[in-house]
Amino acid sequence: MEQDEEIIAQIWQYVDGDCSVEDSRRIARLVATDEQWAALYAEVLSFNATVAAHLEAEQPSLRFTKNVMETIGATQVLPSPRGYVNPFVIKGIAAFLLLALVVVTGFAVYTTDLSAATLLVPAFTLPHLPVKGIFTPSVLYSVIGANIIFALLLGDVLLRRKWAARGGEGS
Amino acid sequence: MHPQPDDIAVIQMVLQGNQPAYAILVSRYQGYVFTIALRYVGQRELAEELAQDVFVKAYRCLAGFKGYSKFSTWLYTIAHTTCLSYKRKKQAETLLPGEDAMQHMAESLATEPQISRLEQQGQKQLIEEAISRLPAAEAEVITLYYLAGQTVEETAAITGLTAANVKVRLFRARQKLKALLDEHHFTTV
Repeated sequence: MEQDEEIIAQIWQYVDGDCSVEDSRRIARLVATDEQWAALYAEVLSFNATVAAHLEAEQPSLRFTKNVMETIGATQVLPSPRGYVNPFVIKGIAAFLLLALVVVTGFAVYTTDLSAATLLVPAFTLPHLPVKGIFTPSVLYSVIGANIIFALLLGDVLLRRKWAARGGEGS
Repeated sequence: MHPQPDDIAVIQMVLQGNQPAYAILVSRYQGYVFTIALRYVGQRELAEELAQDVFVKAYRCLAGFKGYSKFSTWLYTIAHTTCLSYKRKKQAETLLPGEDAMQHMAESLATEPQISRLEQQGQKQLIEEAISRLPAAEAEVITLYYLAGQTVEETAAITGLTAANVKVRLFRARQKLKALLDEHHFTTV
């Protein structure tokens, strides 16, 4: 059964013209010589033709077009985004930012002495904080508990999204 | 009989102020947009409301259509987004079953008397019914590919998926559809 599915997947790629030339030749040869491949190929073609032949668009009510035209009667076509966003303004902003970047970088490079003697890293010490009084065990447990709840909520949201993307849209 | 102007010509007419010309586009694509909406919501009245909403949105944004893709692809993108937004809003209210429901529905279909079903419904109805039992995302891909004549790349542009993902979804949809039809001993051509 699994093997059948694998063959069918390859046959669909062949039918859709979605495989390489070598694969295409190989599948054509298998279809011509192997009974199992030939039978599955015939099934796929038959299914494809059936769906294409029998699928028809559903039609809405006869008033549909009239309803749409009545609704848009009071509506205006919105101007194209290009119409209301002046491209010169965008280009002007971009040019200003680029120029500012060049000037600042140039000024920084010009005024900086990059000799080894001036490249001393200043000493930096952390100020003393009374953390022991703040982070008591009960506070820590509360924070951990809240984090676990947030993690579960986040996991729930992600799983729901994943479910919806996989087929949850199914009616 | 005068040939109908093509989509681009109609759009130009509408943008030049000939609003009634938009009716040509509506009647040309209403079936496809309505079918896509129906795949998502399953109720004709609701699907009609959504389809109407799609055409109104498309009209409002018509000036933004640049012709980089076919008008139909652009329109189906609006249809897809509109239906998906509606579906997500509804899902926030009630959680719908997914794969399990599909299996359950397939089983319930199989338990019904096959002969009477085939007598009552033609092959077209049976295919439609089977498609309606697919998850909406898969039913949409089948509709876009087979009915609306969109390529894999165009379907990818409409749904916001990659072409590879569309191919996978199309393969799954075909397999499920075939399984559903096989259960009813559907006669293929």
